Amino acid sequence: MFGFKLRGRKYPALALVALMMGLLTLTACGDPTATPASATTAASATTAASATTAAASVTTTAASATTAASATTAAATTAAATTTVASATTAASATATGGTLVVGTVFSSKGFDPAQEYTQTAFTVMHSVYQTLVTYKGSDVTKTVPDLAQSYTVSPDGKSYTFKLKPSVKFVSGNPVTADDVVFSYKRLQNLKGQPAFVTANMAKFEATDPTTVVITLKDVAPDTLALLTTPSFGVLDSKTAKSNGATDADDADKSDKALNFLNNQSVGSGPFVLKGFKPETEVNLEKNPNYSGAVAYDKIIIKNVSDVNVQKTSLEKGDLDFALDIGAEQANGLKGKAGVNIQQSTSLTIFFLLMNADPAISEPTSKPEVRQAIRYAINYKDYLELGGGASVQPPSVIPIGLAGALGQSDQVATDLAKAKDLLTKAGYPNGFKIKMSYPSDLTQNGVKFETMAQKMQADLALVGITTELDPKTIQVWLDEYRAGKQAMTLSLWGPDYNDPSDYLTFFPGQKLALRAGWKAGADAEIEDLAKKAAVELDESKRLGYYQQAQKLLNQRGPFAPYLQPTQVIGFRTNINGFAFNPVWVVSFNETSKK
Amino acid sequence: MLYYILRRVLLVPFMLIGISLIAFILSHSVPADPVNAALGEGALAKPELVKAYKEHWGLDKSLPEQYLVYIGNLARGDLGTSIISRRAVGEDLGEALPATFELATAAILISLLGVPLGILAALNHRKLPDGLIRLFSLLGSSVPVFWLAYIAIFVFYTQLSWLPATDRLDTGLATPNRISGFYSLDALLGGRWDALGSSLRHLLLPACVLALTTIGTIIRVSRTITIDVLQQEYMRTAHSKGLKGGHVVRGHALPNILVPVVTVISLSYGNLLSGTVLTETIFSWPGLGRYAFQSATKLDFPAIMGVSIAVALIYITINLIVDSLYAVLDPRIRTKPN
Repeated sequence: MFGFKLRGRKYPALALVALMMGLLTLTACGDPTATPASATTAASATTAASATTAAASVTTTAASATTAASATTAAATTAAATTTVASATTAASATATGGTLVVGTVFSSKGFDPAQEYTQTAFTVMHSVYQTLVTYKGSDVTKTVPDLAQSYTVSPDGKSYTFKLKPSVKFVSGNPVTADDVVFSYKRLQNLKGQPAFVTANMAKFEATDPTTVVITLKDVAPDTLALLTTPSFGVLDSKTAKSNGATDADDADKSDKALNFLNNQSVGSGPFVLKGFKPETEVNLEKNPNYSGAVAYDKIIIKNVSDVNVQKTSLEKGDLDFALDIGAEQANGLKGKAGVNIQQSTSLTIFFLLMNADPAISEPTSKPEVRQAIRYAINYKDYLELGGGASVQPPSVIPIGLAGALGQSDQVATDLAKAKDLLTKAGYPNGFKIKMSYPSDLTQNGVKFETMAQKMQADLALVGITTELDPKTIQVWLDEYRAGKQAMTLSLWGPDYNDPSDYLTFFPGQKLALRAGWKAGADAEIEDLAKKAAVELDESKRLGYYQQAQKLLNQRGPFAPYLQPTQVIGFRTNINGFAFNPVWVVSFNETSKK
Repeated sequence: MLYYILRRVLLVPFMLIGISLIAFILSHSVPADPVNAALGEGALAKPELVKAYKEHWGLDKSLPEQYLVYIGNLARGDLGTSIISRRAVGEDLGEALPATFELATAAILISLLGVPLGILAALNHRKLPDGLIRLFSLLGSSVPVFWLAYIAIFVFYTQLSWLPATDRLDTGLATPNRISGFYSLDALLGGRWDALGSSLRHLLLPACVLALTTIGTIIRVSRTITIDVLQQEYMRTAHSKGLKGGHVVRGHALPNILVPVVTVISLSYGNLLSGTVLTETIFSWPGLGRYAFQSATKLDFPAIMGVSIAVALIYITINLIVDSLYAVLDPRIRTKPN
């Protein structure tokens, strides 16, 4: 049977065919056998769909956090008032005794230059090795606390922020942290024009007025400035060491900066740890920063790329990992009651929503507000909570519970099939209609498959007579259609790029995300007016009030139906103390300790 | 013979151009935008960042231009820079390839056991050993590799704690000085006994899982060919000359069995080198399969091209070696004029 192959010449042709088939499967349609690898797919897709897959505070505290927010994020409100806060950065517990911490995660990053990387793994590492002017403590992202800054003032017009640095903070090199370092790092972030540069888009000028004073001048009034400054992208680099290794903050830094390779393998920050080595496919090594201004919880941290979530689960169970950062609800169930393992389930800040196109040229039925309202009533929200895991909630509108500006649970849309049918009749569709629904078929987010949710949604809508034709696409192809605004209906998600309600202005008419739903400027004057006010209001309670009013209207007239805020699961060993899930950097290692 | 090999080697650059063109066209015909794949919502909202990104990666040029630039760089041995890792693709491959070669080599060495097993089955045609070996071969080739991997991890890591399940070395152990990129070999050459033991233990589980998937085919082919050969007239002649059974098998059957078997083994080796995505993902093995999968899902074009060219070179080299081996194994080919 193999005799004909004896001449051997046929193999190059055979190899070519095999190669082409392989490439086709890989590039065009994803890997059909990729179920076990879905974690990797999910990780990559996450970064693509919305830079940070942020997620949030523990369920029990979430509701109260929302109300508390109005009082606590008062930063911008107190114009020209100096807020001095006791040093909250040195959070390591007094019992910290060193040792090695081993963390397992699916690497989403290939480097740690704050001006270049905007992924989950990079944020976890950057938060450990660089400090920012202000930061968050624990899982509360409604309130910023000082990090490098000792105090700050906001000018009366809200356009200028003046930060006073803490004295005697040192970089790992021993150099003092000065205002020049802050200005260098921020200008470099802006001029490098990398993926994270958008966080500086509203910042016109960075100045060091004296060695410990930094002034940031804004283009427009922006109450979200402090929330933005907590992003690890604003990590402060030791400008002397960085410059001598090729870094520059010049206007043409995107072409002249040569520090990428250097900063991927070592860090030049003032955080509790220092990056000591990086093998892109396998391991990140952090060591204690001897010059850190506070206590450091570990001598060494090893972050390992464990690309399969089931193996992460097993390794945690065996004690080979202290933390497993990517396990989902399914793995968490398997770990229930296992000795030595703690599972923390928190409500994530990610919302899953159904987009219904308001452009009649793309989708006639959903261009009618009554139809969109009918669909919101038709969704059986309770069922999705089960898919989302133990700490899931139904988002009251587009701003998730856990962020300032979110509506309360009483504002959630309640399932009502009779109302839905009524509205459909009013809109002229007493017998329903047929419509296409897209979704990213290879995306699993927070352990929930979009495939499953699409089927569930199809069944929900069938109950009110709407026939949906499912249109699965691989994530990259789906993203293209989604961002072009060509879909009649699609399942999608949004995780905040930074933790301020202003990141949700995109859902309002004429903005980026609304345009994908065919909701153009001028589509709803009342909502647009509220959004405009919310964007620049410096009085915090008024500002959040605008967001809430706008969302109530969005719940009645908008082209979105947010249906699930899934659970975020983190597994860790029981001898780890002080862990709190943070939606931006997942875990702040120095806030934890190991017995 | 020498002339034949030389001619084959001279053809390689032309084949690479063809392969790179096909890979380029295929990967760019995906209806998806690499900018969408790489940038998040925040950056995409700022046109000046999107523009800077396109300029930086040459995505603002037309496709033919992009291809010509690529081929020009390739001619100088430059595979470009990976969009995702921002490192030279050559550097990325330089780490991924030895990892996969080490794993595939270990797996193919283990699955060589399939040859004696196949011959043994054929010699005991339709008897108990034949049945057992055939059952084993059937299981090996029909069980999905990821399932096998999870079972292996469950038994040997979770339950028995005999073998590690992830990575190439124990956590915290320094990598042996690079000579070949094979950790086990480098540890041996460098006298790093701790790293040698560790790397072999890390190698064993994924290599056995991979071997089980190829050993089935090797057994089946060896068995079928042997049965076929045993019924040939020259075998009957050999027997009728009064030669002993063992001698007949070794002297007359084996040379005829080996040629097709070598073909199957070499093709299996090629498959192992290019098709270990699932195994590498599950065992967190930093090799070519995982790299290819990541590049493809993130539309990292330079990396996709690099992987395609690497895989093509692997197949070309293996075919060349196998063709040369035939000459050694089969006198009929050796004496044939080229």
